[in-house]
Amino acid sequence: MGDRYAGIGKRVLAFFVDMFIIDFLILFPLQSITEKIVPKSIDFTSLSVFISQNSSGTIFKIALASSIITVCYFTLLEFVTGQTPGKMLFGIYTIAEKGRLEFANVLLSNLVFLSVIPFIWLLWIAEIIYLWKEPKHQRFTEKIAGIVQVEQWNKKFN
Amino acid sequence: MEQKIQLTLGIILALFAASLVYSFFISSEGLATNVALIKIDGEISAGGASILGQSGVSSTDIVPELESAEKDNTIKAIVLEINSPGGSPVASEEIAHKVKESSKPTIAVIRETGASGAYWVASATNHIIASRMSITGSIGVLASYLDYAGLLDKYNVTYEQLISGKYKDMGSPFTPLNGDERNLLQSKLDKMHEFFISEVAANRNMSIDKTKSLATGEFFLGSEAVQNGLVDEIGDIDTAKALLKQQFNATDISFVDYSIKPSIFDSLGKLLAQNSFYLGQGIGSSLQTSLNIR
Repeated sequence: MGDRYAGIGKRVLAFFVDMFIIDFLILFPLQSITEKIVPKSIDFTSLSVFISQNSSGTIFKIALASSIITVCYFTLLEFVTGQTPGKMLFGIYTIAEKGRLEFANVLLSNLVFLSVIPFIWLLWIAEIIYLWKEPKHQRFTEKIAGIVQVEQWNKKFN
Repeated sequence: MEQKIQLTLGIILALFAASLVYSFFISSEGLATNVALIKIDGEISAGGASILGQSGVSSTDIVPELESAEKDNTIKAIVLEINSPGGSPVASEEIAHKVKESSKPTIAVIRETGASGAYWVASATNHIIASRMSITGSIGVLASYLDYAGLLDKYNVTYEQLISGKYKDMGSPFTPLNGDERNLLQSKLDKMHEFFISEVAANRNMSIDKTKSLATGEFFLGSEAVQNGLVDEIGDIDTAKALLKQQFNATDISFVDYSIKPSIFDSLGKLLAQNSFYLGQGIGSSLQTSLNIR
């Protein structure tokens, strides 16, 4: 069977599986600390003020570490094996549009997960629009990095 | 395939280890202690927020905030930042009782004013801090009102009394208070005053006699209140912070604002209420001119 660009539905489901692994397994130790310091019963505005005024920067450090770990998860797994566990479940592979998959390109395509960057949500909007409109269902950063997600049933990983 | 799974698991384990190591690093730095900051700003009332907006604070808002802070295990203490002349005795008592029920340390920080009902609330905390120029005390009950009976007489307006129960319209601004009614109203106020005194005496660990001597309705400056025992310390919110740092042996204190934020409808309602007031003022002024009322 030849390459076929991975559909949006499968990509979204694969993403949910990966985020589940990241949030409930990998980041569990950091989230345990967040549970101890972030108040539970306040409204969103008070929470935002609390986080921005968090003088020791603990919450920011945790958020930064969590973002970096998330980027590492996607980058390392896609570069080393061509798939994350979520993509494995749905038969999706990460490949370069041209030539060999380069680490720098994979990293670039996953920097969108650095949620601590101010106004990153603007990039997220661009990502979604590109994913929807692009014939190859590429995200905006994947387009720049020259990476595409395909469904390859018989291909061996490099 | 097996090699791929092993690599995948290896990477996931390595990332988990990194998360674990960093969490130990963060914990060893010391985490800030969270303290709920609840503001009591303006007149204290028992009602909820009205559609026309309100200035002041309601016990129906403050009590749930206190309950939330009590239940939240990330909150280690509660600070009440008070800037209120008092208000409804029932609402003040509701808040004070909820404060007393708290198992966490409570501190009152009185800013410009913490008098009457607001002082009742402050007295329920473990520690009261006030500025040397804060207005506090005023332990008394007030029910004064304007009597328009004479004004109605002047303009030949008659008040038609139709009641069953001779005290039913007692306290109406359109009819003068007779001796009997005055004595009855006064006895109610005296009873409420007794409740107020006994609560403050219990809260401040003072004798009833001493509290009574301070409960003439007189307000005290913060500096005077420290001397007579109504306030514990002169200071401000930073004083409270330092006290809490010492109490919890904390590296830092993080205040968590529990105040209920007005919704867009509350804000619009307040704007409407203000505009209606000015409109009414304008109409009243025109009537005054046209009817030649001095």
